[in-house]
Amino acid sequence: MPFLWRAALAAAVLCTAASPRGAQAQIDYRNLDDDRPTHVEDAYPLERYAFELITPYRVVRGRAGQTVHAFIPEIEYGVLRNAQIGVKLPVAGLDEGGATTWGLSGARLFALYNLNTESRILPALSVRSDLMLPVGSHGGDATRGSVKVLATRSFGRSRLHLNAEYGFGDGATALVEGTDRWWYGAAVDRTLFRRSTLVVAEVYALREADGTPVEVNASVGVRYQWTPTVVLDLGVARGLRSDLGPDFEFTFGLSRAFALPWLMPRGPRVRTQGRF
Amino acid sequence: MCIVISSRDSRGLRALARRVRVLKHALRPSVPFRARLAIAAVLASAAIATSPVMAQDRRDEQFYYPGAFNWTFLRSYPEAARLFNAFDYGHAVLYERLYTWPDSAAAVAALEREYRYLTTDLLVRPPRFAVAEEVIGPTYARLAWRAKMMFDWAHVLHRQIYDIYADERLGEAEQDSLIERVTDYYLSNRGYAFTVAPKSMALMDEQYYSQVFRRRYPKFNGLIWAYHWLQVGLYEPLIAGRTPDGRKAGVHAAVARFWDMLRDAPANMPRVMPMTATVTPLFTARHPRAAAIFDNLHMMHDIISDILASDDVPRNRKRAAIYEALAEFQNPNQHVMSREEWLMMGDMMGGIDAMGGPATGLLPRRQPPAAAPAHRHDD
Repeated sequence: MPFLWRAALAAAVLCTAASPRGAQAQIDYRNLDDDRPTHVEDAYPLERYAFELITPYRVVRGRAGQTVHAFIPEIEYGVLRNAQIGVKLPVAGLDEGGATTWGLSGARLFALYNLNTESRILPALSVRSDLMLPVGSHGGDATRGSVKVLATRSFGRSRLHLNAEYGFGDGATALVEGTDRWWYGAAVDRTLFRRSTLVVAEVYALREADGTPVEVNASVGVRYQWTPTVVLDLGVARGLRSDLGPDFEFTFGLSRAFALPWLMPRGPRVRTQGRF
Repeated sequence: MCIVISSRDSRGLRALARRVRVLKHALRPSVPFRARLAIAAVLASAAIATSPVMAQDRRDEQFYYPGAFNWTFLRSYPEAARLFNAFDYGHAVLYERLYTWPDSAAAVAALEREYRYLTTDLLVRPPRFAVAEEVIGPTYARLAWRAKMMFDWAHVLHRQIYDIYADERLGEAEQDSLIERVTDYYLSNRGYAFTVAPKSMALMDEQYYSQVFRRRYPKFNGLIWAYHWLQVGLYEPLIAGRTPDGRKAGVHAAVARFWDMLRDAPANMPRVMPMTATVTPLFTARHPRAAAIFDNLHMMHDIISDILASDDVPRNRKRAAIYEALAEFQNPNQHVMSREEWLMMGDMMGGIDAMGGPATGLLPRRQPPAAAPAHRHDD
């Protein structure tokens, strides 16, 4: 069986099997998570009490002929109103000249807080902070952090998303899900509501480290509500500058939202002034 | 002039001074320019978005109560469950058109087009999953996010109760217990739950903006009332049916009755707002809290239609008028009916026949019409 299909099968099994029995998910094909499938994400957090398990796969062919495979399992939780936390544990395989070396590519902890929903004047605004720990053979050698500002504005059935991030710390970063010195980007999506599908395109620029050239990359993708509980996403990306950025990048993933009954509030039984 | 600084003011000033010190430290020249820029952007975003001057709504979305029963209704009764996805569109597009087409003649034409699209296309071939209402009504969602959230939250309760009734693994007692539990969970989200106290009909019918929508757009108003008839009416065959086949036949008949209402509109549509206690007496007897919530929800739907349609509510007052009404519908202590008044209200309004008829004991009559491609939207 080709590697890609084995990866797809593994992701599907993991996503389905890891969901707790009795828990269900919500329709969330419009929730544009980072890298699912675009780098740029929307400014909205997960719902309060919701978990989201994401099991993506990504393959990147570099300009020098090397190939990177990455499985980036991620779990997010709506820990407070308008706030989510999450963790990613990427596993990467670097294929250079036929030999592939696999290893953990760091661990990423993050929190996102949404300041407001979109209003007549303001776009939705959020701030996000990430902490990357140098764990595993592909995890780099330094703990790094980043802070990001996110904005989302809708125009009819389309939305514009703007993200800007600054990375702190120095030292070698992780092979995948590493920290750039800075990056910023814009994405536009369009909701096809009868098909429960979101199509999205983005352009972003980044500088990996001080003194390195600026990459400019573009990608397109789609998110599709497969079942009431599972969203499928697909995306492709390419560097727009010669010799910089990916020659070709493909990603797909499954995400499933659910909740755990014992974490939900029951609420007092409210009676109507003794009438009922 | 003497300025007196209270201890509260003093605490505030100390906090402000502390923030200024943190800011000066974060933006000191030794920090790289782009890092300072990032910090400044974060702080500016927070300052703007949390400014009371901007009167920002929070997103405040909350996940529904988990359980194996979720989505059972969609699996078992897709022809009925998918209709609700089209109803979401109908509600959203109504508010969007009323708000964005203040000229009533233009709004009449726009809503006539939407009515045709809904009844000949979208309801006939409804979406598989829920429609994100902010996609259909982005301007309205920005105007009154809180209203959209309260409706969504009540619609989740509606949907979960169908799911519980549709789950054949659950016994009757388990279903009743679970419905009370999801109602408790609904009410625990205090910021967005309608009160369980049945609110006075005067809030809907006797305000300075009342009844404008139903007079100006009788067909669309009838469609909304037909939606509301089906939304509460489906509970009745799910309770009354003694076997799975009986329940399926009952739901099928109720859906057929809904289609019957759209024939020769508005002649066969409900003439007054369907009251839950009148249309679904079995459900109301078992779950009066949920029944009252749904009546409050449906009244609030009509109130927002009136506020948006009424020329007596200036455009710059519409949000405030909607939010005042929302606050009223969360208040259990004023403008409420007694249980007895509420149960009798249906008869006083004209009885079950004026509300679309009973939801049980129906024979299937009408099937949905074929889709009319000429009225299809792109997506």
